Amino acid sequence: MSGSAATAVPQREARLRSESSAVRRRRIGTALTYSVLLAIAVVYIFPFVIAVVTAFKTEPDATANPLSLVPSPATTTAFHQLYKDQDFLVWVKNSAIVTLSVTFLRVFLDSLAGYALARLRFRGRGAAFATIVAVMAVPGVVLLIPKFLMIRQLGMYDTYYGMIVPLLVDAAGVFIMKNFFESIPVSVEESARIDGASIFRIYWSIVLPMARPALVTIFILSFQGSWNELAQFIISAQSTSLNTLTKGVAQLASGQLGVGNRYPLKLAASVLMTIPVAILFFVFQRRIMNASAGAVKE
Amino acid sequence: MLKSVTRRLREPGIRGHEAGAGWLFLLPVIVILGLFLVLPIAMAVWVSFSDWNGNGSPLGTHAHWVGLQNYRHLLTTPGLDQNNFGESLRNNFYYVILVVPVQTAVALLLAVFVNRRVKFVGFFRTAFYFPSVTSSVAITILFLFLFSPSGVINKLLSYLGATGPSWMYDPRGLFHVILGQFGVTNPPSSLANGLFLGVSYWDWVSGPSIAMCVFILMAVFTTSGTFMLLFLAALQNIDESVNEAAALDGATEWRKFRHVTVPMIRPTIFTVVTLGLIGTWQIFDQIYTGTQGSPSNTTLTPAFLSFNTSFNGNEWGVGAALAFILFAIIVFFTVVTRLATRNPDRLSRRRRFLPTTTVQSGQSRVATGGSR
Amino acid sequence: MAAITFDSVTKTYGDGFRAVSDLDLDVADGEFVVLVGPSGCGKTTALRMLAGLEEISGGEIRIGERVVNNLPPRDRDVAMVFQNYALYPHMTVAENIGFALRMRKVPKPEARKRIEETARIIGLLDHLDRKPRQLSGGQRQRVAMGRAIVREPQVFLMDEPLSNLDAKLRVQMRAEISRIQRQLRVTTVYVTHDQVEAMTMGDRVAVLRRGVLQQFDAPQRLYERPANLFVASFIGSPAMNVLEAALERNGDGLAARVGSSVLPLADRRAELAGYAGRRIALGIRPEALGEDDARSNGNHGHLPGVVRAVEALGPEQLAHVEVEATPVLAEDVLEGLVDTEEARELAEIKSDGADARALVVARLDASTTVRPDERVDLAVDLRKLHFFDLDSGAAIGA
Repeated sequence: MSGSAATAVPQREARLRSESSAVRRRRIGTALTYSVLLAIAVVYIFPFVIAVVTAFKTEPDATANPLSLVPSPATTTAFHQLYKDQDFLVWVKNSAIVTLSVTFLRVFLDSLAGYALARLRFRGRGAAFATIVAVMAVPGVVLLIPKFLMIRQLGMYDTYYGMIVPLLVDAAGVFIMKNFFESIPVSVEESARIDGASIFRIYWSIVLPMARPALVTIFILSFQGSWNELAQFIISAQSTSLNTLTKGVAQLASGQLGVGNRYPLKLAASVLMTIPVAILFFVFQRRIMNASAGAVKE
Repeated sequence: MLKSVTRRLREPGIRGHEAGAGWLFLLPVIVILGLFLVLPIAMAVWVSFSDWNGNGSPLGTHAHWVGLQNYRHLLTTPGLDQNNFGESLRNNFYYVILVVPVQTAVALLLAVFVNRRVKFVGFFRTAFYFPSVTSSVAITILFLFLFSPSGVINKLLSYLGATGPSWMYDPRGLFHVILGQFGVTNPPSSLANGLFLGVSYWDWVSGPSIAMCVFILMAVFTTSGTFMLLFLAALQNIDESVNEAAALDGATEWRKFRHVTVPMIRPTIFTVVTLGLIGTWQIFDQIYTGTQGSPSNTTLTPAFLSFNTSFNGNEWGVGAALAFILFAIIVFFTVVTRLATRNPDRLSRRRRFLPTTTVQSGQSRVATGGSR
Repeated sequence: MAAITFDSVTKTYGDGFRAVSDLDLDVADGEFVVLVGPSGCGKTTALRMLAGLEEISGGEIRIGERVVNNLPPRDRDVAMVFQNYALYPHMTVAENIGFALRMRKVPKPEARKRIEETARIIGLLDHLDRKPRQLSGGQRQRVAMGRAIVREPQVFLMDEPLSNLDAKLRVQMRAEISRIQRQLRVTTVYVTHDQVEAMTMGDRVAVLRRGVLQQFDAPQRLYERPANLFVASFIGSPAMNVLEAALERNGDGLAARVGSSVLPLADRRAELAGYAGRRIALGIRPEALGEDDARSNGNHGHLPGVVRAVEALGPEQLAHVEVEATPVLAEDVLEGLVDTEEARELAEIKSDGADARALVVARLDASTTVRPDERVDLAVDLRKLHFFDLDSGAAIGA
């Protein structure tokens, strides 16, 4: 009895000591986590900061002081040049036309097909689905020449149609919609059938409004995808009047014309073309993070 | 019997005109996929066996059957085409070999860190993912600037007392440069003479050019965010109790990661590696925007070469053949990874095509197995 | 409003599974019929065939004079309430209720009037602008009802509409649905697995098992004259006790020997006499078992046993008494008891292999003083015995 009382005190001290060392270790761990995260974050963010700052520099300043975060002198020359010397507004217009058409039509067509594959019963449904999955597996770069051949064959070369139509369907979007529709309880649609709704009415008035989360996902993926698309526009059109932002800016970057390196100009263009996607990204941040995790994993 | 058959034909039945509606709903997708995917591939297969030079329609009188000539041109006939092809394969091979492991490791590292329960974790996730959503054109321009001879990176290096290379203008192979440090500047005779696909053995072992290294860094920068999200989803799927059990068993952080976490997210690692392989063999936008293959063809890739041969060189047959060889390479690597990573524990082939849930359910199965 | 006829209706699935076999059912105009049975008995399939959500493999279903086999649901003039309510989550209560009217192009003012009328009936007049997710479970259930009511259809179909509610609300809604149905006099087919719900709500109840109709009768008739062992054990809670008995001649009458007890029978039907000398299944409802007391008389026999457990329910007490007898563990009995306490107990005894002892449940007065492990002499009301063929399970002389 007395022995146990005697040993109790050192034991408690030992425990306290080990507890405090555990707390200390955890604190060091947290500090370490933060320093690593911060260091990597700097690496990831700093280039974008540089891009924005440099867009407001003069060319000599950008070349002489690439690291400086303060443009001296600060100037909007690059932006003026974009507006004056380049067809920047034409590129913006074309990108907007293509992106908006592709995005809205894709949301519509993908959801139509996804609904048919998820819910409507008809012969050949399995085969149709298998085909779409197979098509999904073909790498896009391989399709550049084939697509060009077809666009030309159909007389769509150098038109908006040629730029837009091939992008209208993406198998991954069909896939996402199909999965979503399968998660909706069938009884809701059955109820609508008994209430007298036609198939198209059920799709339009019942199922589509319920599919908002999936539609937003497709919207984001399509918007980002078609806004950033380059290869498709290279092979489907040649007129400069049909240049999109990606194509125009890429040609600006690789073009040998002009004097000097013109980095402020190029970076100004890059910054501007990033803004719409950046806005979308920050508005739907959470959803994009979830969506991409789901979308990439076919 | 007959009566019921005729009645079925006349009356729509309880499901109405569902079959018709089904095909109608699918029609746009099928037409577009057929018109811009299936048919074009057939057409390109024909072109790859023809001498079409871009005039008129490849289906008209301008194109003639030449058999395997275009493929031979690339694979067995010495010449400029073969040399370009060989170089593009070498460049892309080093690109793949370096990007895939590094981006997988970086993505996993980022995921582990943003999976910790710390404040501002949302900010960090956003920061790491942002490069993935920006356009490859914008990112390429940014990297051109960062790595220009008088750019940010060389400025930083100069603070450290080092002189950076001219990056995008430097065609020297990385391995050659390293060997040069040890005084090896001329190829040993065994490597000097042999040729494969028009490229000398010595040039095959050059490693990626300094210019290509910039693209490699850029690829890691832009894709690690996407793959981070995949890993993050997988990590969050791990049952917390498994980690606790490992901690109780006295495992250190590293051992826990190595022996508990990694085995559990194996399926996701395979997914990331496979997607990485497929993606890296297709690099096009960055090359088109950044270098168009220069310097000295050391950033030439099969995808860009295929495009350039067709659209600028008007050798459509060769370009199309190149595209199909690239396709074969991608299929080959995909199948090899699948075979190499086949795991009896995993799901059936069919179900593997299903998204997120498959991978996750695969993981959770591993998880329950581990916790037992 | 219309009568409904199932004329040897069969449902066979692609894999050959027969969900419903040769179902014959006549539902009168304005009648409230309940389809009841354990899960997988085909009751929901039958309802869905009637709704037009499931193809009919064979036979004919008529609503009124019309054969509806090939009519799509919307042309059948039926309204359905689903187990999960199937409300349209993006629509308000008013829009949910009014959707069918919109589909039928009912003019707006009239639709508005009917929606409000309906909302009054279901008591949700103040909630018309809410979305389903803002409603409680009971309110959602009412909206589902309202959606059916507003249609003024010929037939109401209800598929386990109360099974997602808690017990108290369920009892309340049971009464409410009955009230609404009586008020509107719409022919109603109601599916449930809950025999209490079936008994309290239906004008008539159809008991199904494995796709086959077992009995179609008024609730009281089902209880008093079950057609077979399955119905006998399915209907009633606690379930009927079923024991093996040997039928013997006893003077000019008959007696059933259960273990060492002899129960002289009040029933003298000729069909029963035909079983003399054979073993039968003897069914005794818990309330036909009592304590042997002053009220016992010539109408009572005796069954001694040992009390194993007593459940006090307030107005009465349930005694689980082990008696010397062989329990009937035929599949129809066990299946009739799915998921109930009794099935577990029976199964336990069965696994013990002690087949000479059976557990019976007796419904005793609240005042009873019996305690576990006490011996008790149960009085059996000889006028309330049920007799079944041991092989076929069919009621003898039914």
